Amino acid sequence: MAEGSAPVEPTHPRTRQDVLYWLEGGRIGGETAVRHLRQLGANQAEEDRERSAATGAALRRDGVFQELDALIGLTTVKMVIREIEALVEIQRRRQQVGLKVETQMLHMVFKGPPGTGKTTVARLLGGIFRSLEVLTKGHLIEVERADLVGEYIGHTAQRTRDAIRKALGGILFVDEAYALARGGPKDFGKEAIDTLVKAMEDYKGQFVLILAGYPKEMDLFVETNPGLRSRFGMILDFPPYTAQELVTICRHMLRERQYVLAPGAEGELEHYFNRIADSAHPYAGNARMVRNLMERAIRRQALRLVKRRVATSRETLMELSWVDFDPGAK
Amino acid sequence: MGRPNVGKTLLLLNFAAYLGVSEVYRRRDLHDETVMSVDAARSELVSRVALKHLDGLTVRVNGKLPRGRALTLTDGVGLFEGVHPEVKVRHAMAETLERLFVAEMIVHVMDSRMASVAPMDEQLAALGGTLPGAWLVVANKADLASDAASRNLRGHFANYPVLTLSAVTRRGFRRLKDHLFEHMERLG
Repeated sequence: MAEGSAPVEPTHPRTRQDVLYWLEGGRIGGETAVRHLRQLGANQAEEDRERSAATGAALRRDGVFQELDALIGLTTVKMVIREIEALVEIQRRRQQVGLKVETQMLHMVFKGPPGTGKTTVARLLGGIFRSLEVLTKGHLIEVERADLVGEYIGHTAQRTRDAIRKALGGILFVDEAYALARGGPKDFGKEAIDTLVKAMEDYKGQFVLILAGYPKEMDLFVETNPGLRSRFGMILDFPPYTAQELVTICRHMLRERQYVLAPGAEGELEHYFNRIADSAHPYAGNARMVRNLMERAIRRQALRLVKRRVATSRETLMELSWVDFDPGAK
Repeated sequence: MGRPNVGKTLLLLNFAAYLGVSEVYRRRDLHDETVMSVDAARSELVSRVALKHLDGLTVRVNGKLPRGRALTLTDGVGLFEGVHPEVKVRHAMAETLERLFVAEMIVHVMDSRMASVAPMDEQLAALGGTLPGAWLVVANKADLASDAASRNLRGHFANYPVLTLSAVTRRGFRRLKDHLFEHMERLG
């Protein structure tokens, strides 16, 4: 072909920015840009997986336990996980000297309102079980009613089995699990429960099932499904965070983003968290609420600083004051 | 978010009105944000010709939601296939794509009447699976489409929830609202 033909369309972007520059520069079309973005996302997930596989098991174990310890509050949960770790280790030693070994029931129920760390702990548990060689992969598959329950007879069992198959070697985390019993005896949710119970026998030791949800609903759910009750050795409580714990969580999140609380803001925050706890606010004790609050404060601080139109120092750029938070204001 | 002329802006405006909001924010850049009424925005920004505006349109829904929640709805620019000749449009497309990575929920709007699924929509839906936010497919213009067309879309995008609605007749707004609120409930 003659010189001066159309420039060759670039391929293999390294980052999302590459893709967006190419799109803006008119070097690739819209649908191609979207395809690159998707492939980058998929590659990233694969890289993460490879990286986590490359590090040694011991290192990984220290790592996950460090992460566990770094979680604010959750004293009982941490204690139980330490117990499990010890038990697994002792079982192994017993086996080595030819003593009787109990097969372990590692399936669990997590009881607690939203934003109390259930999913976070489940994810860490995956890593811990993997490092203890209880599970081969330790990944977490998170599902809820809508993912398991199908639309016609037989569909539910199939969807539930698919989820279990994906979770083999790791943890299947069923969020708001009580919703499976929502529709009464004719509902397909029942089919999902039966399939789960059966899989716990068929794939013994190959995956860990965690059922999570609000405490009251979960109590009722487990009680009314005798098949489940006998199979869950451990029931962990995730209480709402205290005001002080929420402030600590907030401080940690801010530190990661290189922000600090201005003098006075910390006290106001704690006061606010106490107030919503007293009023039985639906967000009371919810760590996700803290994240939202903090993210909004960061935006409002930005606006406040931009409006002032004066030079900003490193300190003022880092500092969030109570006016940035003030959750009363809209 | 979606391809040009699928009815994104009208959906945003009429849905805002449905939620009881009367004002929207039109943002040209960081410091230039104007408030306009939903009606004014509708007559200025919605037409039958593709690509009416490039600037961001944002609706903030405060105090009208259960439990004092806040919700921000943002309109994306139409995502063209191929290389668009205008740099302004390409820039706006890049911005819209970038925003997909931070949104808590992405509403992928399509025209229910389309005979086959466009490559852009295929790619967008595939991208959806790799994003942190939840993905919802909205089959708009249902008032003009056959039931079979909507069913086909539903079958094609079986990985995602698909809502059939009409931004013009407002049929299906209730389900959209329920879906949105349910998702917010889950986010806590």
